Amino acid sequence: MTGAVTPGSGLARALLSVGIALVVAAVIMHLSGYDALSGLAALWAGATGLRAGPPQADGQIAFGAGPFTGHLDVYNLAQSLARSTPLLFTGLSVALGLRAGLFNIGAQGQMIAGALAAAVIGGAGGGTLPGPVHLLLVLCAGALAGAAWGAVPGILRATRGVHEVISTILFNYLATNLATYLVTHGLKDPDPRKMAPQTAAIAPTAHLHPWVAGSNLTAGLLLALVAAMGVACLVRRTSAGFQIRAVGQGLEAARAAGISVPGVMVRAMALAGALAGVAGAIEVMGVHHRYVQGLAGTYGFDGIAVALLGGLNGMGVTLSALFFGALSNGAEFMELETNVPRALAVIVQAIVILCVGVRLARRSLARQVVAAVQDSDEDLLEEEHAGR
Amino acid sequence: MSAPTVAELLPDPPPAVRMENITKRFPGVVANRGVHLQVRAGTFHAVIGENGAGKSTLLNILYGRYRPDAGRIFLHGEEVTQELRGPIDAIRHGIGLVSQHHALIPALSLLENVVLGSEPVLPGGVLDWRRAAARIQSLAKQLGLGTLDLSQRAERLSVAAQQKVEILKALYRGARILLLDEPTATLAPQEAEALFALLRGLVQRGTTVVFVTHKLREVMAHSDAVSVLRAGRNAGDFVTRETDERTLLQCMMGARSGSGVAFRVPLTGELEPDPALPVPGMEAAVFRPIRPLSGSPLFQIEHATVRNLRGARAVQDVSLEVGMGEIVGVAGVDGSGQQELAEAIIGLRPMETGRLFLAGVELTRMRVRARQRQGIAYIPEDRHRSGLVLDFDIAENYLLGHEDCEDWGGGWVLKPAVMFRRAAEMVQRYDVRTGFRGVPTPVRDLSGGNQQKVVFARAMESRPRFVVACQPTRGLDVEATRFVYRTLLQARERGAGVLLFSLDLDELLYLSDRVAVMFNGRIVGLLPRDTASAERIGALMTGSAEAMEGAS
Amino acid sequence: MPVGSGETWALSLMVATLYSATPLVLAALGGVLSERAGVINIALEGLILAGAFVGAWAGQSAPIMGLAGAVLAGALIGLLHAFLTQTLRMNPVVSGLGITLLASGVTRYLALRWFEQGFRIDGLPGGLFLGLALILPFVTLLVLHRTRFGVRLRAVGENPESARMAGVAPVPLRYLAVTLSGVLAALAGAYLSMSDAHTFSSNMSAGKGYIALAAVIFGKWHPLGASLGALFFGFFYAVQTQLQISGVQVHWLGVEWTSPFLLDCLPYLMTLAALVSVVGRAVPPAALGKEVE
Repeated sequence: MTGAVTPGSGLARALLSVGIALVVAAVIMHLSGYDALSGLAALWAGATGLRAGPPQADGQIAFGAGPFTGHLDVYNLAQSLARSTPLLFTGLSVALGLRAGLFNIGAQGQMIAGALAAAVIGGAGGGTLPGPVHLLLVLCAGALAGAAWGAVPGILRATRGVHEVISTILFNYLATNLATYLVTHGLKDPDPRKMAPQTAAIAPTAHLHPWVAGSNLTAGLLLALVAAMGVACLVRRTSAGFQIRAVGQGLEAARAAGISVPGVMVRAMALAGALAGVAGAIEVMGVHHRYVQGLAGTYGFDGIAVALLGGLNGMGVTLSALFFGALSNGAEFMELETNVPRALAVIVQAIVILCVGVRLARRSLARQVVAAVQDSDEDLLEEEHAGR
Repeated sequence: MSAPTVAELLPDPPPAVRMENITKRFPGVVANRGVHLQVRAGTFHAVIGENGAGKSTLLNILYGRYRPDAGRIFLHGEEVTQELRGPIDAIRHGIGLVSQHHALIPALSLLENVVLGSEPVLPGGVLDWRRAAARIQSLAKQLGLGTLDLSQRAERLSVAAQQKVEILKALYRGARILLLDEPTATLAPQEAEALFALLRGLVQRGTTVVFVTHKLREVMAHSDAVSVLRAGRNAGDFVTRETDERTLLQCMMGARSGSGVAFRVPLTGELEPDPALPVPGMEAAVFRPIRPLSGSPLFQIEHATVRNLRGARAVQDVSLEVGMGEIVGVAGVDGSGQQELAEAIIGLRPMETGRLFLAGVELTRMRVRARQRQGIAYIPEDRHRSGLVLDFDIAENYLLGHEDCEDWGGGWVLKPAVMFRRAAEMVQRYDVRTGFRGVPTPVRDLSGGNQQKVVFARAMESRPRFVVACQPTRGLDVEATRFVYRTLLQARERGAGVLLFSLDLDELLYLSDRVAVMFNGRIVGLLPRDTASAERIGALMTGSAEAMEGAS
Repeated sequence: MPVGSGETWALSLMVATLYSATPLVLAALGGVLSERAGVINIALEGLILAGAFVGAWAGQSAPIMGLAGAVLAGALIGLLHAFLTQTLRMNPVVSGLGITLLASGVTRYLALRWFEQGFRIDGLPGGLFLGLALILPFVTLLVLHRTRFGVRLRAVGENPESARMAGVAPVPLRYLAVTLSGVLAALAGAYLSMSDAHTFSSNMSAGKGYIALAAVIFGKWHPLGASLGALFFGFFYAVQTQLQISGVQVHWLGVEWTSPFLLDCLPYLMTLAALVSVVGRAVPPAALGKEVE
């Protein structure tokens, strides 16, 4: 397929896309009768915790002096980072899939599967297991469940040619419904006073503890950053990653070179699923301490925007996850303060996707120079001209 | 030769086509530099040149597919430069193009293919099938094609038949100037003759035909006039009966004509290349007698049946042996099952029945990678799709297929330093022109010839015992073609077996120790080189019954 | 609807199947038009949502306005998809997902602004859309195979460069096809809000766009095939809702099979099953997802 999603979309383009999206958001606010400026200010304050004026509450750190006094709301910043944690995992999940040429729209379902498994294993042991062992077990459970949920569409694609875009979307709906069934039936919280669709609380040994009191920011963020580095190393530095890239960028050539394309596809999807599954596990361990319906929010879908804005590489996806985490938290804050619906964040996200996806230049300058010093090849020229 | 045509009787009518000072740049390459072309109405005009000379570009400019960067175009004396904005305009001006690549659409019916873009309609945009069918059938009769089954899908026609339908399609649109881009590249010689007969008939009736080719034999036999292009410029214009192959060749090749283009000389029966045109580094290998096959052959395929993508049997009961140090060529009209056979040998396509052996080891159940470890190397036909990952750099492409080999820089963790060093050595040894960026250059930015060098280097550096090469010189210029020949002959010299699939009979006759001919998925003849000739192979390629009796 | 005799149950299931299939058929035909012209259309989901929203909003004044508004919105968004993929050369999946997300965000944002809690509209009789869903498959078939537009559309979807060489401009044709596709998908959305729910709720398309796309593949890109696929999937929607309405309880192996959450899985599961059984043998248009020069 031409017009493929290729890695490395460039920092300038990413920033431009974000800029355009924010301007459009401001215009929408203005047109729909809100004060765009105070809306954006609230968005910024919620996203970064930074605000003008002296501190007004505990947990706010003052800086600057005179008319340039400002304060940092640590809680808001921590919540933004906490939002970025699952986004980084799902973003990596989508990015890894795309590296193998597969559009993993299923991070949502994989995250749900991982969260549910984490809640089950987290509830086991009754607090008798040593903490680190239990933590590790719960993470593994999340990863394995996510991997299994991701591998099936991979297998269907590799063996039956079922397009992964459609199958992963269907798997999302299946995961949502099955999880809801389970937490209203077999896995329901046994506490008869709790009517909400949720599992029992996990054991304290499986908890991740907040870094900032009252916030959801935990060591999960650290884990996500490690995962980003791990995925980057895997893709760039290992033969498994080499095979994934080869399949993603030149499927036929990879096949002819003896790479098992079905194997690579299934492995890539399983690994993508594992990343999303860990996101679910961390939400269970650090935020809700049980599986609750709606725990996955839209993190899985948001991962698509994270991966695309991040240009599929480790550093880019990390920055992009931080941005979208801040945007999402900021939008919530904005809704509280100025009544602007937080759905605005979804619009911003959509516009970012649409802007990043545009491919403006067909050939890089370097390529033109190289071609100029070489002999021509009419076949190639014709393909260049007609094909792309 | 033929009765004077209308055009010859009239005193100096304006030329049907006049192109002046045409310049066309593609990013990084100038395909045409101030090219002139003048074609008399009602004549058969050839445009020749080697690959990359700019002849296809010129044709496509005349068809409005590319806009020239500079220059003027006149049709029958009237300037149309500004009017030719696309194929639509060219069609309106009575120009038709029979293209090599973008021919009929396989999934559409013959009728739909022919009328596409000029559909007769009833009110409401509904197709007027009957009017279209009547018109097409009467044209078919004029062309001597008989009655066509217009409802069948185009994919069911042979390449030769598709080409005739394409001509019909152009005439349906009222084309008076017919352009053909390498029309005989994928045809058997007999089919090519039939095509030229048809075109001759059209010229007799006043159509102007311009065809692009690099086959001098065709030019000499059929054209009225010849224009030669070299490196995007005019190299000469000739009246065919006042020139000869030798002159045209020299004109095509320019200063290099003395140094090794023997294989571009159309071989008319004789196999020995012209000793006056030596090919450096080749003589020893080529002129050595075929060594006798000793003991069991190196490679054997037995009773292979292979299905194609659509589930039809594309290869039927094929058995073939290749000995050590032997090149076996496989000839056949395009689509006779060559691709499927090659893919089955590599392991990319399952065999329904049959067995494969390499040096006594059965490969039938092995996967692609395991077969490669046994010593099979593959030069795929489409180097852009199957040979290379275009966005990978040279080092990464060189590693492809060896990513699990420590000494190539592979293994669990890649060793970029080793990869780089090996790739740099390869670039040096195979003289890959990378431009200023060297090994980190994405192969997309290499020329076709240099890309093919990377593909060959990767295959040859694994010291294969058996090489499957599919159309290895397609689209390459002379230098790169010579590189390919030398590499294949060196492999043979080293004792490797080579199975060479090619549509170019001259190439097959030049390189092969034996030539197998495929027709309709079967091997219908296996000719040792001393009894093989273009004519015999051609007869077998088209399934001629008496030819098959003679060859077994 | 109480459980009557088996006969009335079967009849109501049939009727429910037809109505459940109506939006799927309309959207699937949109998918056929777009994909036969070579443009992957994941945006169907967003188009349905947009059609539903505009239908409900504009339909507040007069139902016909709702219909017209939905058609216009579908055309405009279809045009946007065409512009992004054909002119700006965006990957069609990225464009489709972006448009769907945009539709989801904008409709949610505006619904909060413009719609009262629990508002209802009179809308249009469902029979109107059902009629369209019964007629349009055949109309689409005739258009694709019997008209100049159809032949050109298929040619462009198979090989845009060959079409161009034959004097057909591929890009304008793809624009037209994707725009029409948007109109059809938006009609599906208008049915959901104006005739089925008589209100708008965010994300009410609930994956119907994707299921319609699955129906296109299941039906091998043929208008009648895709419509039959949509009917097949619609049947399972109907089974699901009829079982829920009937209040039948099935417990087996400790699982409550008639739980609404498990029944909700049915259409998705059957869609997957259908795809697994048919793909591989279904050959898409040769230039599907490929760019025009």
